[in-house]
Amino acid sequence: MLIACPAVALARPADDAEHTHIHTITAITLLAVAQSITILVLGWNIVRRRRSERARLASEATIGSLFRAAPAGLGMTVDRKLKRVNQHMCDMLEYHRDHLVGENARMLYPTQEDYDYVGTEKYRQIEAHGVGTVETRWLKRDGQVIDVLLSSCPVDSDDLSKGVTFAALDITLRKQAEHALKESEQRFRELVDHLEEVFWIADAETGKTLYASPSLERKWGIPLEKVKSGCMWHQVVHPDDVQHVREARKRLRQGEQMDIEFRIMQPDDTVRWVQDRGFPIVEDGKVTRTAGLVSDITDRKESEAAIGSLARFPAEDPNPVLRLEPTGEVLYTNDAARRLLAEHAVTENIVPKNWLKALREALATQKNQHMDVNSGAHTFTLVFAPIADAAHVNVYGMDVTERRQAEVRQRLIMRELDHRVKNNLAAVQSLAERSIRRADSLADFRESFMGRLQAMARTHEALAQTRWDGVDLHDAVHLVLGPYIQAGSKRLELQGDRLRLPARAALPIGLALHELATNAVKYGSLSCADGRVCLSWETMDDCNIELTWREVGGPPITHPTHSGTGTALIEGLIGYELQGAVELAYPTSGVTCKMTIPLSRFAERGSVSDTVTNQDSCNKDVTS
Amino acid sequence: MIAPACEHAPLAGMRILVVEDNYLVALSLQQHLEDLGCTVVGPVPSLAEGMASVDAGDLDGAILDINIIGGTSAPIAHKLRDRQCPFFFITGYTSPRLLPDELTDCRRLMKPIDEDLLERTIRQELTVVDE
Repeated sequence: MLIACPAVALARPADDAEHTHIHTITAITLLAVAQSITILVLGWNIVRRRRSERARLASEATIGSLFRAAPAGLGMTVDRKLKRVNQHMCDMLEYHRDHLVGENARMLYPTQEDYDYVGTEKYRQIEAHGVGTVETRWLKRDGQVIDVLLSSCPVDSDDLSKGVTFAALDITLRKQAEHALKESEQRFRELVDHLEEVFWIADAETGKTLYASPSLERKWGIPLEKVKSGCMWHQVVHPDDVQHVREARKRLRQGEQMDIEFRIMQPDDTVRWVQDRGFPIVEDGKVTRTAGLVSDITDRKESEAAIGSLARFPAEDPNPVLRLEPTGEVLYTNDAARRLLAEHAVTENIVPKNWLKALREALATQKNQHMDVNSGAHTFTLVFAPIADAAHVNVYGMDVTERRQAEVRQRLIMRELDHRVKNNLAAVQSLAERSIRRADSLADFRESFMGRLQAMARTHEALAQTRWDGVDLHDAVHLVLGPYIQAGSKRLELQGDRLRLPARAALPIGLALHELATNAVKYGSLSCADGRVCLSWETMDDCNIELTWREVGGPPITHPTHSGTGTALIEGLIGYELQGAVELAYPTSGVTCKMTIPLSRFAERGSVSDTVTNQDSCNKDVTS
Repeated sequence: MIAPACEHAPLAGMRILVVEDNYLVALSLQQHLEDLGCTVVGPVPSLAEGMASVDAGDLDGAILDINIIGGTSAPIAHKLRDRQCPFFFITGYTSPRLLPDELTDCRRLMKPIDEDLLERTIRQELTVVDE
């Protein structure tokens, strides 16, 4: 052992394997004799060493082969100086091996920063995990920068100075692809983020929503989570539209395009109209997914509804509305106009001949022209309105039936009033004549005439209050007797239901009561403080009334007190003018006057308007 | 032939029917006619009585209010015309609309009645001279 040691020591400095072998043999030869056991041991050692040498050589060869064949840049650095590089590495960077080996790896980096980063990060990882992998950038010989995935591992993890092997992959294309994808995704996100519409993708088989763009929540407040569980519209579609949507989406999954409009309910129950345009995504002849774009069309729907409603405007007009060609040809009619044409026109397409004058006049003057036409019981004024800059005329009908009737009625009323005024003047004239003839003095005339004139005026006052539509008997009595008996005084007792006197009968009755009252004041119950008058009335069959004047508490009556003008007047007014009967009696207790009046004969002529509207019934009387 | 009579033709003794539903007006007419020496038949206020009076005959003329109890006096006018008995209307209506067409050209005297005009109208319309 001691002798062998120098041989071994001698052999040791040799690097070359063959030399080592020769020295070893020499040593064995020299020492063989000396120690056989030593030889054996040494021999054993040599065999073992040779074996490991061979294995090492085989491994070197394998690694060298790998080194050459690997589709990646491989190499080794010591102190960040390139010691070995494979051909792929050279090809990758378009350098010759000679340009690289021995050079500092700094030459591979476009910037010091890149170089420093790799030095720091990679060696940090190596220290921590034994291996370091970083993405960095290398410079090709022509100055082009490539992306590189760089992995390094020290030859001896305990001694980095022995060198570090590395493998480098050109990932430029992958990086570009990644970048392109990232950009594309970015663009997509920017697009959908700003999209007013909602973009969605769904699984064709399950119908589940795979994606819905954020505007779903932004626009309608529908949370994305809510639609993820199933069909996007699940629980969102208006109940009335569910069936419609379901069927359309079914057809979409079968490969048809979809374009539907329906309503959705926002979480706050607001109803919105949407349009969903979907298309199938076909892969290998099979619809795998469906996608679509949903727009809010509420505003459009509302304006459509508004326009639709406006368009119906003339159609809904109860008055005739038409649009005419200058020839009289009908361009548009609403229902009312069609009815009118059906009555007047020969055909539905041309207006009646007598309309043409107004039509031509409207076109010629460019001013509205009017004409009246009758339709059934209605009268319409047609306004022919020429439309400027258009060769047609709009015709608007106005139902003037009531206005025309009112005009007629107004004329009749005026005439009737005129008639009544004149009749009254004639009556006044007559009263004046009578009073003049019978008066002993001017004072006498004044007393009799003015009293009667007052009675007439007061009855008219009562009539005017009801616009000549009859007069309440109570009111008439109070008005006429007002000058003689104070309203509410116990001296006048009225008995009878409310009764409306026809206007025609009011005046004679008013005058008759006046005559009775003046007589009572002069000679009867109203001539003393305790006397009273009872006026009672009763409606008999046929609406005739019995009106009874009874004086109570006056001075005893001995003889008829007013056989003169008063009596004649009462009998004339009631008997002649009202076709009634008068029974005047003069018992000692007080005057009584029973007047039976056939009011029904005058009822129809009661008021001015009755007189007009009951013209027919008056005429019937003529023939009877 | 019926021709207008002279202004001073005597009216005394003429039997004139008065149909007027307003008592006071009728009374006034009666008074005027009697002042002229006429004999007043009536006055009557209604269509029925007016018709009956014409039927009773012996009339020299008639003064008819248009609107009377029971309708208008047109049927009375027709009957008078048939019997060639002269008549005229008195009315408060300015328009002749209440009368049938064939009576619209008849003389109408407006109320209130002017005494002189009444007399003149009676002379013009009711006195007849056979030519």
